[in-house]
Amino acid sequence: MAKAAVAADPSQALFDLDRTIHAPARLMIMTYLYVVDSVDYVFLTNLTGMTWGNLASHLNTLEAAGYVEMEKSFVGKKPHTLIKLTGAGRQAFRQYKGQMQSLLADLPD
Amino acid sequence: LYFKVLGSYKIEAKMSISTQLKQAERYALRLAIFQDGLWDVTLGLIFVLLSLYPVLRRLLGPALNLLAFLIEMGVVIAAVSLLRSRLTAPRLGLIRMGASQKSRLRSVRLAGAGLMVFTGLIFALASIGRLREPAWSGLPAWLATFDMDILFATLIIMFFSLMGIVFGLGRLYLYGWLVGLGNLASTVLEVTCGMLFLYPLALTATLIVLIGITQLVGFLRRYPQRLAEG
Repeated sequence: MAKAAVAADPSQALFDLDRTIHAPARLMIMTYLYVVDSVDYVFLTNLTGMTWGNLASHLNTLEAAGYVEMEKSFVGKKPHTLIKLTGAGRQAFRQYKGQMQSLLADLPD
Repeated sequence: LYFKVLGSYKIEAKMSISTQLKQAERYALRLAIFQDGLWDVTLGLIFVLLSLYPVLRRLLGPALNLLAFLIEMGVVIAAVSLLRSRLTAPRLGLIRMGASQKSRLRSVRLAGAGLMVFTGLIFALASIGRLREPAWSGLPAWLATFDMDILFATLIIMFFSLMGIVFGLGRLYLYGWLVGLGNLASTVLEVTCGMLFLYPLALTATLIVLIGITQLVGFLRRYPQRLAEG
């Protein structure tokens, strides 16, 4: 009974949002990674407009959550990192998207 | 707290999340294909070469002119590819398209191939006398004379407009009108004044090259080359 009451509480839905994705910078990264297959570090920096350090910090958080995977290699003598969403990351983003859509659908103008 | 937090999402609430995902998808595509301006430069140069085609055909003869045209096209494509690999690709980075982006590109390529096959078929049938121009009644003479050219211009405008819609890029609509009307005006001048050099097309194609160069300069300023990651 108490559980049902909590589920019906609209504020609970907000607290249930995945905070790893919900931060604006990480939401932007996840959004772009969701619509592509994979991108390298340079392209993702250009897409998001974020600095290298900021991007690296958020990518580390997403990698620790198991949402992105980074494939490091060398092109000539330069390091090259290819970034893509993992299956878990794609699933988590879909779930987040569904939660946000249902949350915002009934919002009055 | 509920309404305080939701208040910050008021703008997002007006636009569905799916729409924003589509915009993100288009933005990534635009950045990968059109941001450096080299696509525009290539397109413009191809039409500049096409505008010279009738003049060179008279000077060189049909066979040699075709060979020269193919060599010129090869040079343009090789030069642009070199510029892309040396100059813009390292600044832009690498993207592997998602399934939906690949499907968008496929639809544009299919439409382009369809347009080329249709045009080729019309020209081939007309050149062997299998296709006769319809005898329009009630149409002004100028409209009846240039019916196929008007149709071709309309198809070009429609094709570029389709690209504009697919990629969400405004300047593609402009290119449709520039190429379509430039080509039509060139044909009108060729038929009515015997003008071999298709200068309206050359003019509009040069404008596209200039837009591409402006875009390229802006791109090089906006995206400096990084020596290494991090």
